[in-house]
Amino acid sequence: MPAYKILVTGPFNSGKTTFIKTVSDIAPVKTEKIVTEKEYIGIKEKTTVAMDFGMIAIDKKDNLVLHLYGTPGQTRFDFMWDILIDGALGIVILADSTDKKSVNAIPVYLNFYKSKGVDIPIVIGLTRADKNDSIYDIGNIAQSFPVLKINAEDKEDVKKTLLTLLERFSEQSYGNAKY
Amino acid sequence: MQFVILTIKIIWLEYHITMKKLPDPILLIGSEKVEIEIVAIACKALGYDQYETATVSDIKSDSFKLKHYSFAIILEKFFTDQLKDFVKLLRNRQSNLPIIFFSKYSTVKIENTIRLPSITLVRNMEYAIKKLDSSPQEDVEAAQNGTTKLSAIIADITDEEKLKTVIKKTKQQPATKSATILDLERKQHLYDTFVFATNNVTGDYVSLFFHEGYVFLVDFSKTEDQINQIYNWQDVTYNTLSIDDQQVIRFLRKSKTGWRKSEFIWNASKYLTTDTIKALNIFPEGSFKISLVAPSFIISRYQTRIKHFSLASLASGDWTLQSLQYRFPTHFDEILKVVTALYFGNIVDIVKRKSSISSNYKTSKTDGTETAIKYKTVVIKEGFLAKIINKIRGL
Repeated sequence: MPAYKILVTGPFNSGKTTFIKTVSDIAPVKTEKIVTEKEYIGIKEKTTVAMDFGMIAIDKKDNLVLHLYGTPGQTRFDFMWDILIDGALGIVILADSTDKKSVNAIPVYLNFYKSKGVDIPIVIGLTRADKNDSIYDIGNIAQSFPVLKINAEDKEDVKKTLLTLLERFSEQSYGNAKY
Repeated sequence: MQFVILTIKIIWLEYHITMKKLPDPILLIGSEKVEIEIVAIACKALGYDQYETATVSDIKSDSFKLKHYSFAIILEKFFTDQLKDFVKLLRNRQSNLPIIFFSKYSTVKIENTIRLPSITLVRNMEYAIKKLDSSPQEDVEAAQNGTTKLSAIIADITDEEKLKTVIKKTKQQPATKSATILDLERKQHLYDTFVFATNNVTGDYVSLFFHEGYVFLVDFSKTEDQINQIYNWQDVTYNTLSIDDQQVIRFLRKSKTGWRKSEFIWNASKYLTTDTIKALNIFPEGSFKISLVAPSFIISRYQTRIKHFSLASLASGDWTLQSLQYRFPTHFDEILKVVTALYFGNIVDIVKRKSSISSNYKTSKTDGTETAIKYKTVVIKEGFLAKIINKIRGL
């Protein structure tokens, strides 16, 4: 069964689990635990600690499937970022557009994967773009990567993000991205 | 038919490709069906349709017929005599069969003295056998000569005769050197390169790593203050190295005057902190051979800062569960099922290499040793990418 994989990563509370849930054929496998860090308590009740896993059946005849893996957001779980990147066709980095800290964290993820020598397409999704006008500037990152303003609960938005990533993959134009 | 070949350089375990090439089914053994099902689901999710499941009761039955397997996974609370016999049977049938033993239950004490590891991955039985076949005497001699002051000899429990030989040789060590010797008789369960023990005071995990004849000890779960509180370092005089983590640590405290036990602590939440590295480097060069067994990226990150230790990186995958186990001891059950899926990729990789199936793997020297960084060429059939795109468009 050919299975391909897309990694969904980004800071805490950026909508990764929701993003996967929105398009997954199966109820996503989640590893959520109660938030215990002081700085995050109150923002949401639970957070991913190992990974989220969703799947889209592409073609029954060929048994072709697309796996969606979500990473934990916090940097203390960065060892899982390392594990989950294995074999990904591309990376979707999500950040909460209404949260400056979240947007400012995008380079952390870019640099992490860059330091690992990961050379695959990356698309950035700014979530909650529909809910608030306070969309923080992501600087010159937008010159190197496609940046989409999305609502992670909106199927069309999620589809658009994935399609942008896959199209970028097919163009093989991701290799020269600078940031 | 034309194919569009898209090449990307990635780190990948390629289970989606390898699974088609698995020569034999996977064998899943467990005491309870529900446990087997956890792994079976993971198998299925990854496309491993070829697997066989059996409970421990099944394997006792005459109707249970052993076949050849790509690898075996055993999920059990206890590594019982019955399971030992079964492993022996499997090994007799397939000497190189990779076996993973998951015991996700903590603090299991059997045979009065032996504390069963919380998780033991029987990944590398070949290594143990090879070690014994080559010359267990070498290790013993190295210990006697002071070449290796702390030496692990790995014994294969499925070969009683060899085990007895090693134990006998080990026991011949002078008492003064006893601190350098593992009490193999009490360690019959150390049939692989590393073991997870359980702290019998707090129930948390303390580990002993055995690799390439070296030992690395670590407690991931405690702060320095907690350690000092739990273990009374001041009055310890033990000289045995035991699977009992307290004794291990006490042994170390006694071994060199002036060493404070707390300095051995590697707090997982901080990985290797500057202080820890400083602490590690207080050992006089050559006084101990202690391997740092850790994810290769940690090793590569810190190798230049740790001077006197033989660095060794386990093959990828060994540490996946390890990391999670330490980081999430209380969440481990939930995580196990998904991590298992990831882990499979590594096992398959091992099988693949053993089966001499062609691969595009390259090795890379990132930490002074050949590590398991793999770059692979992914080939996507013409049409597959288009199918994925079309499917998503139509969602």
